[in-house]
Amino acid sequence: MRRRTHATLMSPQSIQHTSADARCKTAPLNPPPDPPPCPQALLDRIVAAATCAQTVRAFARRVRADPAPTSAVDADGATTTRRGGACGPTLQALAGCLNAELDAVMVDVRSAEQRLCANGNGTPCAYMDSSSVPFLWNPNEAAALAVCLAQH
Amino acid sequence: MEPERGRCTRRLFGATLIRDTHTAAGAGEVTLLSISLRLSDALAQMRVLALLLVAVYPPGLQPGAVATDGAAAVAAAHVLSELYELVQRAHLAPEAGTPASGVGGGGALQTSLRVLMATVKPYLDALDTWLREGELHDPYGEFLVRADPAVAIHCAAFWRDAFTLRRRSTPQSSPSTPTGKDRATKDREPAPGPVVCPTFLRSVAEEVLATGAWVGDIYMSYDSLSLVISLTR
Repeated sequence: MRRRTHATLMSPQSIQHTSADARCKTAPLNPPPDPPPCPQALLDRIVAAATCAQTVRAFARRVRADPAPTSAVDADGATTTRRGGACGPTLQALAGCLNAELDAVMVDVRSAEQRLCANGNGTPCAYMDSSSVPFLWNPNEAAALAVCLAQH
Repeated sequence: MEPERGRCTRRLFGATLIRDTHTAAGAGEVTLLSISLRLSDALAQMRVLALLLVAVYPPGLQPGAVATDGAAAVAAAHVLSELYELVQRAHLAPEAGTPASGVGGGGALQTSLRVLMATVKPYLDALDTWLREGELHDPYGEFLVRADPAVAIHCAAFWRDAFTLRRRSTPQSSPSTPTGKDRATKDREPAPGPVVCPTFLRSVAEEVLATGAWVGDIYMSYDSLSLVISLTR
């Protein structure tokens, strides 16, 4: 029986893995830490999320506006069918589901509002005195954020 | 405008402000980190929903316009097939997610699954009605079986032509000088195009067609027989 060498047993994939392992060994054990949060980065994330929400809302609106097929019976008893749009029950269900998922997210956010409100009467208060709150963004960023979220 | 903006700002800040009452460092202190953590799930969920939509959006779909014949079926089949693929890929590698769409993570799997279940329901309802009652309720024309109302029940071709699988039209062959071999193939029936249905139903499409047609036929025969019996009494 022919004796196999180690090299003949190694597949290209295993060689690739070996190389990857070797690279891992040379890499630092601890990855660099996440950068500290900054107002602009958080603002960017919120703006990006609001854009995503707008995309979903726009799709739902367009599907809702899609014409439905209609049928009418004329005097002779013949049925005339008028074709509708391409958004049948499946796409309507998709739009409805995505919309509902988005609503659920917003409900979470609003319940957080109720839960987190400091004075308990529905009126957020801390932002009124933003100068005393550390790390909050400046009023211009806050206004841009509010406009963006109000749009969806 | 200003009161509206103020209301939005209040809502936003009310939602995002977090008082770290449990931290020893500062009761009532708001930090960017705590705000970021609080919003993290909501922002990620919004992103997943949009990515899902982009991943499954049927190419060429133009909501609002009257569609061509079969456009709704193509769109529905595309959406359901892509959603099914997304869920499968996310299920196989929940941590890695689905690289093609960018939808990743275990939360994305759950969201994709919920969206798939909600989206496939109308199609499964139509399938259920077809298989159990032999009836076709498909005003938009998105189901894999299509009915031809022009074929009367007493027509000889009823069984063959009344209900057929919805297929993509095959592309026309290019006009060229026919050779002997071409002439031979031209005389034959054109090859049927692929069935327009979600990928997970493609392997059973023929059985679905036959089963619903048979069930419908049995119901019709039963009704006719009942009518005859009642008339003869």
